[in-house]
Amino acid sequence: MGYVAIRGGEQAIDEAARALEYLRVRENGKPPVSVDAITTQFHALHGRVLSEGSLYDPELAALALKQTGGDTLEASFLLRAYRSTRPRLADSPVHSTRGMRLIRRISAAFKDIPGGQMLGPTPDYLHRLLRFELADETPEAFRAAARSWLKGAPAERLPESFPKVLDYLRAEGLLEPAVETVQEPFDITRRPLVFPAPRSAALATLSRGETGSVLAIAYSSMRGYGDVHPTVAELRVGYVPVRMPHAITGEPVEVGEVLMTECEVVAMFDKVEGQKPAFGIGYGACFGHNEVKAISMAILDRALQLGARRGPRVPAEDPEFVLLHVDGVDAMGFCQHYKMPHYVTFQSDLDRLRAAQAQPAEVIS
Amino acid sequence: MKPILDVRNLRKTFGDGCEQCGRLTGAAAATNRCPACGTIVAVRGASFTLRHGEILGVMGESGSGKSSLVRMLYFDEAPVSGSAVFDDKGTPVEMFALNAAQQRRLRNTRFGMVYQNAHMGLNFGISAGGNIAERLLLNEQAHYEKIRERARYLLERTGIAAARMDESPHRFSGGMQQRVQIARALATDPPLLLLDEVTTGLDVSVQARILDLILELQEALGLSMVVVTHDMGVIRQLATRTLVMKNGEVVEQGLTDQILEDPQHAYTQQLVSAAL
Amino acid sequence: MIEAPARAYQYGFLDEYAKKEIRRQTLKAVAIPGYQVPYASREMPLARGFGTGGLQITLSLLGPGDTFKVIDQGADDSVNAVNLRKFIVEACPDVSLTTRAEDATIIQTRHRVPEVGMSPGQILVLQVPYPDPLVVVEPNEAKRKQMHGEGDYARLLVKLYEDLVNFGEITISHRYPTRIHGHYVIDPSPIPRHDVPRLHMADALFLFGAGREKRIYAVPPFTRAEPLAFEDVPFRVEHFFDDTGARRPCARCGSRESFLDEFLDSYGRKQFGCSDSDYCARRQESRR
Repeated sequence: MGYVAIRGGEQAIDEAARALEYLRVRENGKPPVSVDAITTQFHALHGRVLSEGSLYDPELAALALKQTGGDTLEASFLLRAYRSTRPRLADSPVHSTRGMRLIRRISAAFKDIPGGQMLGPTPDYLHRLLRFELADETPEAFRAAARSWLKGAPAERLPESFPKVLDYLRAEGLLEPAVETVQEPFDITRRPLVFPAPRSAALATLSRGETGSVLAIAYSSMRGYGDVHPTVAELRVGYVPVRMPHAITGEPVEVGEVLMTECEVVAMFDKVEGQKPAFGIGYGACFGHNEVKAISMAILDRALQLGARRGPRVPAEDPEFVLLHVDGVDAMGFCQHYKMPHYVTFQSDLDRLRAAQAQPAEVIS
Repeated sequence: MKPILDVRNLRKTFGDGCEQCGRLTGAAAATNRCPACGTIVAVRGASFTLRHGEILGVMGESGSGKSSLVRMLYFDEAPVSGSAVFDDKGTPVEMFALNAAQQRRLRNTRFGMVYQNAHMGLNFGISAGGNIAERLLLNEQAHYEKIRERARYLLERTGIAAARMDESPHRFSGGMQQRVQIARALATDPPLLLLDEVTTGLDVSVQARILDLILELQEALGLSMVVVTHDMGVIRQLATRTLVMKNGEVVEQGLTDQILEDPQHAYTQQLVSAAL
Repeated sequence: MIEAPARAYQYGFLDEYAKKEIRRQTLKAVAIPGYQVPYASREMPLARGFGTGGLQITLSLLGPGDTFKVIDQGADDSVNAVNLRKFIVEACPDVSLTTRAEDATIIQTRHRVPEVGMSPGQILVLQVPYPDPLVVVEPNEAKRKQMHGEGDYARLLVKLYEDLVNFGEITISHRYPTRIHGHYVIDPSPIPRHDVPRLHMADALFLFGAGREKRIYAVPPFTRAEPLAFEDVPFRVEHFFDDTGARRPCARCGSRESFLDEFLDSYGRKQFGCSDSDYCARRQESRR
C-alpha cells in the first residue's frame, strides 16, 4: 500500500545507528581519540559531564563523550542511565571540603586571606586570542610544554588544608547563624522531589543541573530579576579525599578522591525582625572543574533561601521554577520527544478546531 | 435571636511577639509595631457581634487593622488567637476550628467578599460571566445553561447589561468592576457579605450609585454585612452600628448615630470633627 | 582501564531496589484511584518523553511467563514501538511478545487504548507527559496538591465554561480531564477522547507512569472514570462524519467504529484509516 508512509521499523533504526556511527569514524586513516586524551585535553568538557552525569567516574564520563561525539547532554544521559542499574551498596559519611587538595583558591572579598590566594589554572586573566600555533601542534612540542611546566614547579609542598574565609567572617559575627541540621541529607536519586523541598534536595538538584540552565537562571537573578548581589567569599577547586565505611570494621577509610569545584558567596543581609543584621550565605559545589556552575549554584541557593523566607518575588527565588527546570537530562529528553509521531493527538486537535470553525459566526465574537 | 456572627478576641500579629507587645502597642501607644521586638500587632483582640440583616461599619485609617479583620473572617488570613462563631442556618460553627476544606465551603457558599482592588476579587483572565460561574461551579452547579441564566440575572440585578457578560473585566470601568464583584459575591445567595473599601478610588457619582445598590440589595435580600471603610460618608449612609479601630485596637463601638453625634473616644471625636 | 561488566545489564535493567520501590508506589496508586503518587523516577536508556515512566512500571512488573505488547500511536510497528520492544527483548529475555492485544498480559502504550478493549487480568501501562490536569489553571505544585486533596476542580470547570463561551465547543481535544470515582481528576495521558470512556468501569487495570514528572497513578478495574462536562453539554468523542453525515469507514479495513488517522495517499487525496494497526490488519485479513 502506497500510503503507509512514515512507518519505520527495526531495519530503519539499525540503519540510523549505523549512519550515526559513521559520523564518528568517517575520518579514515586517523587514529581514534583515546579515552585518556578526552579526560586531559578536553578537561572542561569532561568536567561538565562529571557534574551533570550524577556519577563520579572519570573514565566512563570520557567514554560517554567519545561515544556521543562530545554531546554533554547525551553523555551525561548515558551516565545517568548506567547509574540506574547500579545498586546502592553504602553511604559515605558527611565530608568536609577543608581537607581538599587544592589546585586553585581565590577570594573576591579580601585581598589577603589566611593561606593566601592561589590563582591556579584559569583563563580568567588571559586574552581570549586564538593560538594558531596549536592548529598543527607536533607530539614533540606537546610533550615539551608539559616537561617545561613541571621543571619550573616549586619543590615545597602545599599545606594539607587551608582555613575557610567563611570561618573568619563567622568568628567576627558577620554571618547569619548557621542552622545545624540533624536530618539526613535528602537523596534526590532515591526519593521523589516534592514541594516544599528541603535545602539539601535543592542543593543536590542544582549540583547535577545542566551548566547552561543553572547559569541562565542565576544570571536572571544577577542582572535584574532578583537582588542577591553576591560577593565570592571563596572559590576552591581541588581534590577531596573520599572516605567510606570499611566493609568489616565500619570505620571510615579513604578510598579515593574526587575533583570538585566549591563556591561560597555572601550577600548583603536581609532584615529579619528581632535579629541583628548579618550576611547571608549561598553555597555551590559540583564534581569536576566547573567554576561558572559552582558560582551560579551558590547564587541560586541564596535566592532560594530568600524566597523560602519571604515568598518568591522573582523566578530565581521560586523553588519549583528553578529546581524543576535545571536538569539537562529531563529537559533535553522532553525536547527530543517532540520529534516522535503525534498523529493521534493531532487528529484530535483537528477534530476540535474544525468543530469550533463550524460554529455559526455570532458564537465566535 | 442569635447573632449571625459572634467574634471574640480576634488577634493577628506578624512577628514572634514579646512580653512587652501588649503594653507598647495599641491606640494609647499610638503604634501597632512593638518597639521592643518589632512585631506588628495588626489586630489586638477584636470582639463584636453582627445581627441578622444588619450592616456593621468598621471605620479607621490605614494601619488600623480593619482590613485584616475582614480578611480573617473570609479566611484570607489566619488569626493568631480568638474565635468567631457563624450561625449557619441555626447551627453555630466555630470558624477557626474548621479544616481547610470546610473553611473553603463556608467561604464559597455562605460568605461573599468584595475587595477594594477588583484584581483581588476577580479573575481578569476570564469573562465577567466566568467569574460568576466559578462560584457556582465551586458549589457543584453543573448545568451550563442554568449557570448562564444565573450569571445573566445577577449582572442585570447589579446594573450590568447581560449582553456584556462574555467580556473580560478588563474592558469595564472601575465602578462596573465593583458591580461584577458584587454579582459574583451574591452568586450562591450567601447570608453574609464582607465589603472592604469597595467605593474607594471611584468617582463620587459612581460611589453613590454603588452605595445605593448595596443598600437596595441588603433590604431586598435581608443580607448581613460587614463594611470596612475609612470614609465617614459610607458609614453614615450604610451602617446601623459602627466599630472604630486605631492601631489594631477597637476603641469604640455602638449605634452609628450615637457615634457620629456623641463620640466618646478622643480619636473618634477627632475623626468626626475632621469629617464635618 | 575500563572493564566491560560480565553481563552488562541485569534482568529488567533497573536494580532490584528500584523495581521494588516502583511496585510499592504502584500499589499505593491502585489503592487510591486517581491519586498521583510521587516516586524517584530513574533515568532510563531512553530519553525523557519517550515513555520512561511507562517503561519503569513495565520493567518492575514483567517477569517470566508474561506476554507483552507495545503500542505507539496505535501502531505496533512505529519506530518508537519497535525500539521499546527491542529494549524489552534485551532486558527481559524470557518474556513473550505479541501484537494481539487480547493475548498480552501487559501492554505498554502511548496515546491509545487498543480498539478490541481490555479483559480481566490485563494491565495497560500508559505513558504520561503531563500528569497533573490542574497545571493549566495553577502553576504552583504545592497549591495543586491542596486543590486535589479537597477535590477543588472549579477552575478546571471554568475553563470548560469559557471554552463554550468563546468557541461554542469544549476545545480540549485529548488529555481530557477525567474524574476518578468521584474524587481525583486525572490527566488520562494524551489518549483521544474516543478512548476515555474505555477507562470507565473497565475489566482491566490502567497504570499511568510519568517519568520526567515522577508520578504514578492508576485507574483500577470497576472504577468510575467520568470526563468533566456539564449536565446539558455532555462530553463528546471525536466524530468522523463526512459531508453527508455518514460515519467514515477506514479506507483499509472498512471499520466504522475505530479511531481514524487522517493521511494523504500517494495521489494527495485525504484518506482515513484505523490508528490501531493490529486491529486494522486483522480485520483486513478476515475480509480476504
